[in-house]
Amino acid sequence: MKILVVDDDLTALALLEAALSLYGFNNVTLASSAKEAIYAINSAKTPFDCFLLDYRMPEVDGVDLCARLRAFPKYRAAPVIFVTAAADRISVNTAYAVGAVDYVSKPIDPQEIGVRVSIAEKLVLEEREKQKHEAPDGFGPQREQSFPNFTIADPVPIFSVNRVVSIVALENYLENQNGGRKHDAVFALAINEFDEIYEKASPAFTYAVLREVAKVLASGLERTGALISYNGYGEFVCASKRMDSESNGGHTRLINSRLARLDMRFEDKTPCKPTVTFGKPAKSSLWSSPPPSKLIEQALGASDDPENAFRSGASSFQNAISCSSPVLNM
Amino acid sequence: MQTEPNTKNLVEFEAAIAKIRISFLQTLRDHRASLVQLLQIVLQEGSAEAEFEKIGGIAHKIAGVAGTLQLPELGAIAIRTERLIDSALGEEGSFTVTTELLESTATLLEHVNQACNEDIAP
Repeated sequence: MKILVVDDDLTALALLEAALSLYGFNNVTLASSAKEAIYAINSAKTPFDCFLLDYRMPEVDGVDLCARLRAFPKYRAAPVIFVTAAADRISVNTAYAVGAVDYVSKPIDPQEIGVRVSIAEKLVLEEREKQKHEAPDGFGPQREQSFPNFTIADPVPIFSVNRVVSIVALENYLENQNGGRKHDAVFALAINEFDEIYEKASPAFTYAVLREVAKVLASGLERTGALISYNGYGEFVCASKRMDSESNGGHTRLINSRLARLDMRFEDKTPCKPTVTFGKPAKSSLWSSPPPSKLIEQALGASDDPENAFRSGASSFQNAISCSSPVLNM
Repeated sequence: MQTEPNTKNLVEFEAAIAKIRISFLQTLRDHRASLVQLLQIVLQEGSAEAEFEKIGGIAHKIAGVAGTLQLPELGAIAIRTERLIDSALGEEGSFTVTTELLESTATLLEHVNQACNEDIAP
């Protein structure tokens, strides 16, 4: 995997390079400024697969650089991992808002770098696989037949939607937020009758529905600063400081009214009108601060209607590692 | 996906870290000179915001790597100083040099001094 690392501190650059090499990532280019990074990008014979950007840099910071990267069509879906000095909410939120897929906190922990970049590599492989099967002109029959199959339980990664991250990145975020004694509410939401959509549609169309719903969620919940992750079974997990049981009703209406405006049709031309239902938020308190995986489990178990309880529950991380799609297996 | 480093990579990594540490300790001497100069300006001229911004920049660089280079105490005090400066600079129009901030900066300088006095290659 070809990686571009950008940090204005030369010691940090050298450490990141050593950490990457430790985990077998040897095709690494270093840049000490955004200007050098753009030069490296423009002069690269083969495109980079992944970026590690320092959040705080003079002149053009990591956030601006990330936005510039996303302007290159070939880097719209490339994993960008931010390296932030302090795990403070503002920097992390801003990073996710411009399209980061993950972040690591300084001081640099080689093992954490290795794990995060390995996860990014998984995303790169998945994206490559997806592109191999995609016809250039939308939902042609060829694309539909050759789109990688996935089971209803698979937490397929959703690329290029700002604020939509992997479940591992969401857990990482919650871990750091709890460390800072700030408390996010975690809640789950499900696409209603997702089984019917999954049964009726091709994998390509089902994936398109998931992506459209993710986009609507990201834009509808933008003001709440929510981070969103797809967890399989048509269910999403969200983390936000500014959402609670009272506000969920308003969000449900907003999301569903936006979803109703989408013009999606199954292959037989019948309309596909997904709607979503929110679960009750799970929240840590001053007295108890469960680990992120537990908080996510609680959110997935918190449905008003036991018959329609969230199914992706038990352990979201377990879902991620048992995903049936071959390139998704960790 | 490689989740565990192999022995060869580990040996190379340790060698790389040793070299980076030496280079960092040399850079730290420049940071020490800058910190002394900036603190002198703060104490003599009473100007503060611009100087503390620069001190914050130095603390930020130390905070990001010192812990990894087996200088945990230096890393911790750099993180603390960076946070205090960030928080002081964040309050628009009301930048004040608190005793806590001055003490933290002085402790940072002390730890930088100690690290600089380590026996390193010239």
